[in-house]
Amino acid sequence: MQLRVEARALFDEIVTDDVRARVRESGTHDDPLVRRALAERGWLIAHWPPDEGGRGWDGLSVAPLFDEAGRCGAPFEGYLNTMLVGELLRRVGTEQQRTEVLPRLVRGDALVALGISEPDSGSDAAAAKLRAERDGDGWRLDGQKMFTTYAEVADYVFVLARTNPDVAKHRGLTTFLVPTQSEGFSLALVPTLGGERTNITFYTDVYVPDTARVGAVDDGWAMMGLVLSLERGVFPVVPGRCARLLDQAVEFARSARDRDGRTRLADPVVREQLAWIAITNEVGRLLALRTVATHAEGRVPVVEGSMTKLFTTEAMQHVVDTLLDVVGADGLIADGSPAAIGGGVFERAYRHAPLETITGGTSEIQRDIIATAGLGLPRSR
Amino acid sequence: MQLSLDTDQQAIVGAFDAFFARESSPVRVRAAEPTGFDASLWRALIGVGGPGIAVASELGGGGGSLLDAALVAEQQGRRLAPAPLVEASVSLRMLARCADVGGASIARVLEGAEVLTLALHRSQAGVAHLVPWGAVADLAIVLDGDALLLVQPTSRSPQVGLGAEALGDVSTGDPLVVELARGTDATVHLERALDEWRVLKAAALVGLAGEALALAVEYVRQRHQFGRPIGSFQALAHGLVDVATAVDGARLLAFEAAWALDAGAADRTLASMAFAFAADTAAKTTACALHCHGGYGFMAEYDVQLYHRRAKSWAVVHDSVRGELAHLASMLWGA
Repeated sequence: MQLRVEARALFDEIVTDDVRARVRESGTHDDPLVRRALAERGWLIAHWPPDEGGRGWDGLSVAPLFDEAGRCGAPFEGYLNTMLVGELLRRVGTEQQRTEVLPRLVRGDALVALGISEPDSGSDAAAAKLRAERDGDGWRLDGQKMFTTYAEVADYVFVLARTNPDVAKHRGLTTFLVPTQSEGFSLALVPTLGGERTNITFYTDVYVPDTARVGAVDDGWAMMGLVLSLERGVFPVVPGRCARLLDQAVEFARSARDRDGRTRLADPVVREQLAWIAITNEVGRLLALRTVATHAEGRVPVVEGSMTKLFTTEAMQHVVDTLLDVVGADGLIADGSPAAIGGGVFERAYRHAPLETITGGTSEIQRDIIATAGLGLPRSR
Repeated sequence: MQLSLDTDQQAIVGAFDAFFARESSPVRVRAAEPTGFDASLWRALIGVGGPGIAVASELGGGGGSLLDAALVAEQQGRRLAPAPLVEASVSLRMLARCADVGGASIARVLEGAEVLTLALHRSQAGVAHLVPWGAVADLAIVLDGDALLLVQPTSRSPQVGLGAEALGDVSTGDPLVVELARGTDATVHLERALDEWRVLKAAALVGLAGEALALAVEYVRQRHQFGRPIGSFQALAHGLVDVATAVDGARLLAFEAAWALDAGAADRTLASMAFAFAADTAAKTTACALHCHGGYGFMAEYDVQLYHRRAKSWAVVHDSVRGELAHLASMLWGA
């Protein structure tokens, strides 16, 4: 409870309209001030043991932080992303990685972008083609990565590379931490429907020393699996975002009057729609709590995590569609125009939402996971 | 709120899982149709302390919480047990809250195995219409005007239909046992009982849905078409996943609502949310489960149809999902 109060107070103070405007204009969901404020409080490492700088909390105790961040739109996803790789380094990193790289990530001084998808491989991530070949004491990387979000502000890209083309695809991969300052590294801006910036990143004969390798050679798929499992211990921001959207829609509906003089909130159809959303918001929050609680108990919440992702992101599609209907034409106006309401949140959420059922494992991938690992159904196509 | 069951709670689940598996087989459930009441099951259920689990021990109950009662209700729902577990449980708790006038009747149920139920809607023109178990009840609580009455129903003509809950009309002119409360007190008592009913019925519907889902999963693993188990077709697997996810969500919500009522929360919204979501989920789950059975699912001898009919009837006897959402909206945002 205390963390929720503190987090809300912090975000209210530092996530100013200026910050939100900067994020919207650049499309980069990161703000150094927000990042460092979180780093100073050590909230993203609160679950580490005290002798490593943490507080020994479990994921359940940190959950309110993400709920509040979702509610207020705090742009900390870049830092969160970075810390997933940070967690991996903490577990499997070399001495050098853990003493030289990791502290910079924890302090919020360096960001890591994820370089997994390629133009030809999204859901089929193991089909990655970007090559890494031995070159003396290091490696030479060549290829492209798609949707390398945060690459424009990141110090590193965590790259999934093919080191062995002669074995089954998921057995010939290795992960590397590639500095964005490397010669031969470049990026191209990719504008999106949601306004978030992403990038294609190009690796043209990029040399990295072997110290940049994360995990054993040809063990990259296990590294990816570790990162995914770590992500399940983190409370998602989607429930908080949906809760905030509902609050804002209700606030609007209380004062907006329809042609017949009734408030929008008095309309029985609107009331029914909003009540249903209140329910699915709560169900999503509970599913997320269950996942984090399972993880906190030391069990790997594969099915729980997939159910949470599937349910909350699919529910979000319904939420943004319905709430834009409820708010009406005023909701179409983007932030910056005089008639915008709620800082243009409804139209922005409508444009952002489709990403959530795609990124981090599509709904269809999640359903396959739940079907096999959860219901015991045979593998399907 | 804790998310996992402690050892006592696990023991309750284990005990009533075993009890209902033994006493409420599909054969027994079918035998009780079309009325839907099995008197010997009811007596056995009383004998193992089911309906009284959440009544204070000094009144002859198990001294447990509403959450404990919800755990029992889920098991009852899994087996479609043809007995008024939920209605009796909340009615007994209401009698306990009016112990000075209602307390004496508790023993008639917990020791005498009389059938006790609750009219979910107030009477109109002297009749509480289509009360669950009204056709077999020895005792019924009904709100008549501004008086909350405990009566002895005399009418014994069950209304048979989609469900099997011995629906029957209860007349407010039936022999009065005692007036439990009047005026604002009466309304407060009934509202509390109805919130508890919502929570326990939500738990029962979750049990029902979960079992229907299990039947479907088993069927699609075994049934082969086009040379492979039909569960390997994504169209079916993905549909089952969506309802399985909703069932898990409904379970969490029902237990959160039970916990909140036990914790003394004044907020009534969780009970309403739990009922609406469980009712919607149960109907969608059984529809999906039945559909996955193909032509066999439509046969009377396959059990999934028993679940499909009750998923709807157990809920509609109180209200539609949409009606419940209107109620929820008024609690969230005023009239």
